[in-house]
Amino acid sequence: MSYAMDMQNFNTINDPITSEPKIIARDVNVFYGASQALKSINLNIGANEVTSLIGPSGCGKSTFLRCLNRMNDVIENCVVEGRINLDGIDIYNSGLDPVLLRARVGMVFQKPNPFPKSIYDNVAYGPKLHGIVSNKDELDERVEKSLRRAGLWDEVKDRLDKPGTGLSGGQQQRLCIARAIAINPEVILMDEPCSALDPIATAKIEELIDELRKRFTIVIVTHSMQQAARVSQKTAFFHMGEVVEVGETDKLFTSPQDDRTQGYITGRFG
Amino acid sequence: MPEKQDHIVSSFDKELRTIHEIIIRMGGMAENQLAEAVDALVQRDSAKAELVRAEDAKIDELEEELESAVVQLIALRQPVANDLRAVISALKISSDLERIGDYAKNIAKRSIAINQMPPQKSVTSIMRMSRLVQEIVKDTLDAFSTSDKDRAIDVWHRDEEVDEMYTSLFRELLTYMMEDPRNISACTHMLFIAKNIERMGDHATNIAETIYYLSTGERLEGKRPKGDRTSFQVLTPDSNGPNNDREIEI
Repeated sequence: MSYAMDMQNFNTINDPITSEPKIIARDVNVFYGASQALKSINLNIGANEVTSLIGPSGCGKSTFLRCLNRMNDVIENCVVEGRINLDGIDIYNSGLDPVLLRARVGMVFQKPNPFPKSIYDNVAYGPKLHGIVSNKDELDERVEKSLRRAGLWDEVKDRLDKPGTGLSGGQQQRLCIARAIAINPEVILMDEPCSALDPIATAKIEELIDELRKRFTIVIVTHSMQQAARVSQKTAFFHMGEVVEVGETDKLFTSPQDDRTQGYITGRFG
Repeated sequence: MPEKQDHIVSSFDKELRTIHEIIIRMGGMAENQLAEAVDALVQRDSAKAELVRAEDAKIDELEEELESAVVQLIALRQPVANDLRAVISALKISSDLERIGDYAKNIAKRSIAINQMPPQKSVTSIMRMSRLVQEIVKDTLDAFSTSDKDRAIDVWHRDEEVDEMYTSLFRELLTYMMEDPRNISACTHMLFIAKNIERMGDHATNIAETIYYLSTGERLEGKRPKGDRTSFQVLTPDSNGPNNDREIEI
């Protein structure tokens, strides 16, 4: 099916369109060996908005997130079926280089994982590797811009040569976000980015997420329903490998349509 | 509010049940206060009217108790979805019930004044109107305890009857006042009593709308049919005969 046809048909699944889809997933099945982790997932990820994926442990939300930049490729026995289109290009079957894909679809992990290098080098690494900058001045500018966008510049500008691992947990996570946005991705995937952080650091990341969505499309996996409610425009509830319900976040948290969604978000099962 | 499935944290269910029970108690008291206030008027029983006045404080106390329970639950549990709708609805319904209680108290006060004047013919009409509103309040509370949206819609429509009765009572009272100016004092009190009962009907309608939201998550669409036309009516002593009064559209 062509992208144009997809655009015409993308509302045939029960998924309200809140902004033009950046990523369209259709009939996505994922198997780890014999066991099926995702069952026929259909989802539209809107451009320049935050989509949160919620659900009990083992429901497949992280697996789905990792499909979006082919992180599952490195897992042995993992088979991904179906289509995932990024701006109309099938990321699995079009010969797209996974390394280039991951430059367009960046990722931030649960535990901050800065490289054992200086703060500067952590951010400069990607642009250098991808040849995005041609001289030192451009690199300096990019590092500063990325750190500013990640809301970290003022806190680290006087110690850029100090190791990134010496920062606090919240700062490290913002450093990882700066590192992810330094190579100008279009989409940022976040896998529980705040679960290791205290409430103040969490609030700073959430404020940052809201700021970042003006430039990037963001997909976030979170165990905190309040966080999903606070940061996202759209929420998808996963349960046992399926998308049970997807909708505008404010509607999903006030009037969910499916009993399972209601049961989960109100703390009746999970 | 009763749910098919309990929360994992059982004290959450207990708190929600407490809120639900307070509303049921407040509803029962408000319903009873209306019945007693109108009885005091019909039976010309000022002692009973005094009792009604005193009882109103208990409804106010329950409203405060409910408010604190709701604030505490929101702060400590951060309810969402049907739980959130349940606590927000409880807060709104309690304020409607508290107003119904206030109107009953006002009827009791006025009946003490009316009891010092000669018996009024319009008491029968007031009694009819109050019986209808009592039924509506009772049905509203039944709809609440079962989260029955169809019953709520039914109640919502029935308020039109109350409005029509009020319009007709308004004309009846104006006629008595024109017949004999000595009636004016008592009839004015009766008019306020009728208005109070009509307002109780409006609050029951609000509650019905809240119940609909509670059970569906959506607002009741469409404009409610209105039968109260008294805001537009002019009745002059020259206009003898039933059809000669005029209505001005504002």
